Amino acid sequence: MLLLIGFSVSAQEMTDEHKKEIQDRVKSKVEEFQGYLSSIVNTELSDVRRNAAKESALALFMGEGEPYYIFDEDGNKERHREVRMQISSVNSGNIGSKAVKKYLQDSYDNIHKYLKVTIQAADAVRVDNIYKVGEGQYECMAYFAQKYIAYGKDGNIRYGDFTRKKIKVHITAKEIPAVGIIFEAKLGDIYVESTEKTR
Amino acid sequence: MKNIIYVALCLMTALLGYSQIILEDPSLSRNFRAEVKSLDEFAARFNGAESHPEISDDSLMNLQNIKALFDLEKVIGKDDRSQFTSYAMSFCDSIFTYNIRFSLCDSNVFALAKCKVKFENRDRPISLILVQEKTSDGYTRWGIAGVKGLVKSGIIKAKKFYNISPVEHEIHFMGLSDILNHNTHKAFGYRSLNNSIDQLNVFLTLIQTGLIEFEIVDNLEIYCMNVPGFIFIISEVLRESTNSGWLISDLFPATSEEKKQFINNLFIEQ
Repeated sequence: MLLLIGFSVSAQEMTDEHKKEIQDRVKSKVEEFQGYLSSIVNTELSDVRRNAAKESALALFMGEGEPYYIFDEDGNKERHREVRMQISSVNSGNIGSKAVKKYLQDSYDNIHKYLKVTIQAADAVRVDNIYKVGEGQYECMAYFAQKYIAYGKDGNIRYGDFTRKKIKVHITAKEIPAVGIIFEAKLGDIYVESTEKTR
Repeated sequence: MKNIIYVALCLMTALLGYSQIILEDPSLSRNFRAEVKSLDEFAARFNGAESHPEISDDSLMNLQNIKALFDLEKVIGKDDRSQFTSYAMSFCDSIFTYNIRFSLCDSNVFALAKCKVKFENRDRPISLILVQEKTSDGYTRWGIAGVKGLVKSGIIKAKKFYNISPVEHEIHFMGLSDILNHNTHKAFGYRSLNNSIDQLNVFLTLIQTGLIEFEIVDNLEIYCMNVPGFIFIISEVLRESTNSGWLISDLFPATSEEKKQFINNLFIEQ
């Protein structure tokens, strides 16, 4: 059984060791998400596998992509909308947002228009802005960049963009007997800046 | 058994997914490493704790890092480029002379978020001024310090004053139920001539009662006044370059008095 631990230290007293553990944990979660995202749009995979990737990706998010509740410091139930993705297009200046669940479903549905989709990722995920926000609760940001290219049935590039994604990550410190403290990470809202390269 | 198969399927899917991430274009990773991806990274480079990957580790490193925090495309595009460059050099001097460190959690740093809200089924532009602060128990938080644009966007009508009859006291102001309930759009006009409107309180009340729906932040700028003699603005710029991310988009000289005036203007609707 996992026990929520109560730290008596303040946010400023987070040890370097804990900070590093949080960064590693978040990086692996984000890489996992990138992997699922890549699978969802992989035209070489069956729909069953792509769908499994979509479900696994959703499981990484707060509320698994649905509205959710958390308890505030006074023990009151706090209602939250579903996790969303805000997309800002550098080319058009438009900003829009959609639920992550819908984004993943759209990514799943869209590939049938294309022959092949490739995603190139920058070789690093940065994690910083780590703050303690409550007893055993932390929030931080993860940053990564991707290039997405979709080829039409004729083999020509139909769409391409360069996106920079920032994900808010919610961390809960838990103590497992005989193991020690582990940091559980759940992904939150995503901010995406996109530069379209080709149409 | 079903669960094991499902987990195995998910793992395979994830692994296959990774195989589709192809590292082709070396500039993607190079640019991403150079990009100022967060304001934490901005602070680290400004304060000399981290460096732009293409700046050499020598005695000029800190100066070069500050220079690299400027949005160079914007600098090049400026009409008064030589004057701006001279300001930028004085700005760097001021940072090193006074040993200035950048932190978001500073009473001289404000975030200005230009937002869209929905009121009476129409999108209206407003601006929020936010400050980062520490709570008594050591947590860091953002708080809304001001709101601008409620009058300009037509959410509240406050330019005109309306009169409550000078004889109303004789009937124990029984007319208030008529005045206040039947022409609600005039409500702010009934305040005393000496009372100003606190837009933040109005905004939060409208939010609490559900009459305003917050939609989106269209634009975000960070105003910094902690370098003696200067005000600088940080904005986020996305481009495929080693000069991108959170960068100094504007800089202008300002005395302490001018800074005070600037802060006042930030909070006051023009």
